[in-house]
Amino acid sequence: MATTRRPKTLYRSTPGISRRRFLSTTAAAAGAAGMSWLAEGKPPAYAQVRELTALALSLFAPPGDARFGELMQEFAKQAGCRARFDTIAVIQVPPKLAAEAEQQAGHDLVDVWEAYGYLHRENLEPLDDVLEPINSKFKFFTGPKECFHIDGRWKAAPWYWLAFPGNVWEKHWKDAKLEYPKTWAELHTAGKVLKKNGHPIGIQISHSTDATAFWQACLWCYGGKVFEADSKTVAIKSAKTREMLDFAVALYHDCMTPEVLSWDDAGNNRFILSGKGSWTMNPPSIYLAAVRDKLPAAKEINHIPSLAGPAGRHNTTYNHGLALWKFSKNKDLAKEFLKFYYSEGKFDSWITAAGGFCMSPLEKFADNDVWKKDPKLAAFPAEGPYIHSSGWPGKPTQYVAAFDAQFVLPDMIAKVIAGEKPEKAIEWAEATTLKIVKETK
Amino acid sequence: MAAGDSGPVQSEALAATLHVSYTRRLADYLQQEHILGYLLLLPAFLWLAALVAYPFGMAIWYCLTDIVVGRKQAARFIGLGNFISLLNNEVFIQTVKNSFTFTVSAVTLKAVFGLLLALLLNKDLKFKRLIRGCVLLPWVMPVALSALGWKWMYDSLYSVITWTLNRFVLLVGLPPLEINWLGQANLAMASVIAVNTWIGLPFFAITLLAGLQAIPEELYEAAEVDGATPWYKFFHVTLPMLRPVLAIVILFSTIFTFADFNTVYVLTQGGPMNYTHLFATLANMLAFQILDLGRGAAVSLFMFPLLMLLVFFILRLARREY
Repeated sequence: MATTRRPKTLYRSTPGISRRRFLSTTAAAAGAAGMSWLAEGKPPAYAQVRELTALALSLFAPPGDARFGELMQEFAKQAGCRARFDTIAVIQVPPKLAAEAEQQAGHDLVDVWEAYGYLHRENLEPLDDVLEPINSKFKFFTGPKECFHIDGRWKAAPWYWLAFPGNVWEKHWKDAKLEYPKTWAELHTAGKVLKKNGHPIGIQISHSTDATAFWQACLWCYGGKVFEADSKTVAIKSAKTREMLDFAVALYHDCMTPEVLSWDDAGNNRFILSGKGSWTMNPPSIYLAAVRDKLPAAKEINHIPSLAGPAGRHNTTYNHGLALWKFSKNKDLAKEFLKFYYSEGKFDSWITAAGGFCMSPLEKFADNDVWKKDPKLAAFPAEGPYIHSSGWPGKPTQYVAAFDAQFVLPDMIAKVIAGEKPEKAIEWAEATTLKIVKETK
Repeated sequence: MAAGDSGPVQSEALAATLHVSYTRRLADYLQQEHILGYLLLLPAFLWLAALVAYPFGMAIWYCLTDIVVGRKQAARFIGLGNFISLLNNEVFIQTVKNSFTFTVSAVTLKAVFGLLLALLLNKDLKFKRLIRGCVLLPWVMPVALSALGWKWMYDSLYSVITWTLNRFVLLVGLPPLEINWLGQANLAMASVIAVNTWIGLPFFAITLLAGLQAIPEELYEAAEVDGATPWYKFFHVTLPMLRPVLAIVILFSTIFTFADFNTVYVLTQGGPMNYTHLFATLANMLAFQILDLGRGAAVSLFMFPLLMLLVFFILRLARREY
């Protein structure tokens, strides 16, 4: 029996309109609408709400992140746009920046620190028009300016820098009747006693970012340097480096325990918080964590000025900057946000929220009450005149980035601790650094 | 009027006829196996092309150029320049040694203990299913998470392993041990091997268990009739029957272990003194921290020819019949 197929039509109440016709008509209508947006050269109304996005590492002082997010939302309300602030773990930031630079897409504003400004300089929008007026009004400190004023242009807005004074457990020093040290040599003398009392001192001699930073500060105090002022000529092989190396190894043997060889960046935090350690170098994150979690350690921890050496007092830092990608689709919006953010009542409110962890790169806001209210934080702003970026007296360039990423300085010390002769370790460090300069593009 | 009324009806009838015709032609077309087969393969092919072949092709191109992440000027073709540069790099040579030590040790440990565990799980145990589920836990947990757990267990201050060892040491009146698990070269390597073994063991155990269960019981019965001892049965029945599965598991594990990143990145960052750097951690450092994508790609592809040879020999071994 032959079957007859019923013509496929839409519901009977719309006689004569077949499914095919319905689909073709609606598709044509949608296409025409799309073409009209294209012809006008602007997206449909719903897509016109722009979104300003920013990416940064998660601060060790979370209220700082929360305040930054609030400021972005406040700005978004005024500017009639949306805003999003993403924070990720510090170790995830470099690959994320690399991915965004390679894709030429991603956030508008990104957190760059130290050499990352230089490494990504070709993809960063110059911010002179925004930052010069801010600099005239509030004045950026020299250190942050040197870090982000690249090839004569502002390639990132100095955001904050980190201070690394001494972190001490007061009771251990009092029990040993010791004065706080002013020099590395005094630390060595005191450290011997403290270690005997079961409370050693400690800074990383491991594959951790802090290790390079801390030992580079020590190297500067002894008159040594990794690069000359031209940021390219390798200067690590010197009598000063040898002097510092001998000191570092003695400091390790006499005042520290082998655990420093395995610490990550938080190793010294745990060391002090546990009550075992007497001294380390760090921002106030150890103390702030103890206060936040109401730990007894908060009463015991205090901060003392960084140390001097035969060549004077020098200390390390991490300069952080807010950079704007050249490929950002919201450049004007991002620049307006920077003007909004670097203003009275805004930037200082963020500094306050960060609880003293983030040091102001602007002289105007460096005198924030956050470091006065709690006397234990008074040592932090005082570090300002002594800080240098990695690679000093040169700038943090791609060579410095490679030197830091390969942990050459801590490895040089670790090699001698493991039994290698100091002169061989220095030769190794020099050869490695020369290779870095030769091979790094 | 009549002609006007019949118009839509005719066109609908024509549409219906065409529809039937199209459907039939499509059905006829799809009934040809060589066409349907390729069509069914197409999604998987596109998936692999986009997510495996394209990145792999890009990696090959990158490793032959001086490409730097985000740099505007086009990458220059430099041939084997990146590989030559790596072969003159002390850290890379150390990384090659580390990777072999790490992979050979970890895969051997996983194979031996995985087989033992599989034999144990193959027994008629109480709570068999629960135990099998628990055994899988290290493998199903995110590697970064378990590595963080191990980091605490190896911590210089809070190590539960050192604490436990010290309970015994104190019992015999010796001074407590201060073991620097991640701070000494050999110990750090042993520690990361132990973590990789812990994570990868269930993969061996469960896959070999499946292999064990597929061995026909008659073979064991025949061996018993012939008076075979348990050792004889293991070496002359179990192992030969397991060989194809074992070969495939070892092959997969070797590739995974060579490519391991999380364990070392979380535990040691390649330290102390680069004694635990693996290809993946070194490639990450070069490509993402100093943006040298060319050399980073060269590091990650360095093992490719060797792994291809390994794949060839292991697959031959798996197919070999005795």
